[in-house]
Amino acid sequence: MITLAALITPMLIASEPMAITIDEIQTKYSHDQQTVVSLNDNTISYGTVNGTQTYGSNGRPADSDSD
Amino acid sequence: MLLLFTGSLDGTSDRLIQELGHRAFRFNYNLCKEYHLEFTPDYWEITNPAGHSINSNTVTRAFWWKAFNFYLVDEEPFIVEEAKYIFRELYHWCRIRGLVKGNPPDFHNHMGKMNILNLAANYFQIPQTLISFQLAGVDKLAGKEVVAKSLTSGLTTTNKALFTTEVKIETLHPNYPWFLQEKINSDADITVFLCGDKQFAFSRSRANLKGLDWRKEQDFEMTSQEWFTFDLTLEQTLSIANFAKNLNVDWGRLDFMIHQDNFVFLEFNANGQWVFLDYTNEIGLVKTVADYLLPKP
Repeated sequence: MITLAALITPMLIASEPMAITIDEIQTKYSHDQQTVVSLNDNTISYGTVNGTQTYGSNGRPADSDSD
Repeated sequence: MLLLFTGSLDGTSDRLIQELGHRAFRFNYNLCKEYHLEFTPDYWEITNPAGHSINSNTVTRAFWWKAFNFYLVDEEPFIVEEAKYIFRELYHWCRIRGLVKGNPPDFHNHMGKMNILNLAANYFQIPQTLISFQLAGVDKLAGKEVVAKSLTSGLTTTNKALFTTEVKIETLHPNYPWFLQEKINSDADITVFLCGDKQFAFSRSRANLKGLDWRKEQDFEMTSQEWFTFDLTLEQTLSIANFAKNLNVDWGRLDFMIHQDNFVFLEFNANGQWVFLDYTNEIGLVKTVADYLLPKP
């Protein structure tokens, strides 16, 4: 007989999503270009700046918005 | 002009803005206090710090893309709620006037997974699926391989997510809500991106997956192509078009698996990500979406 304590819960089988963390210093949002730009050369950068990973250059689904 | 409700860190929005230029105005929720906003019952105007502006006379389209997936940092909760209210009200100002493209951010609050599966069953095979409290109804899944999934993709307090995981129903704790589905054994994941009257189908092999959920095993370094486009049959195209018409959508992603050469419908993502399907822009998805959002005059 399995006791309640031995049963699995949604939290028990949850796992950490894949994550990308990009150094906050590398990028900045430009209101003029209306995009994130690199601080070094003012070109477009696709950093997520400690964001929650889904919204990088490739729109990859891997976090709480994993759709 | 397109009003794009989003966040400043969103790479998808970056790509759309690159395509649309200043035919679009980007309104970033997480930077909302940097904008000048005037909103009255009969007029509104938003101006960003660089001087770009949009108003109730110049807006012709509106699109919501992940705006509230970003955060107002170190902000009083009351202010957060006030700011969200403003964003919602502006979005619905546009919706009331028929300017909105895509799907509203709360689409699935109104049309959840079971309602959509019920509708999808008219056009596709669907897996046996159960939402259960106290394990009611799990006997109907007896003898089948079963996976547990998340309804919301929400995170636990330890920032973990419930990816599709194979479970044995006799080991499930009864004191939790469960979203269970018959496991479909398939050689490939299929996703179809719906954009206006266009359908883009992609396949991803499951041959090298260690687990069940491809989202856990993505190549973020883009060292190899994972998703490959393919042509739908006329029957599949018509089924998807009729499903979308019945659901009253022209935007989103449909996820399938293949079982004995038939599409098995898994779910519809009203606001699913799509850039990763064409990150090298070979198919031109960004331009297709830009044209959908704001056709060139």
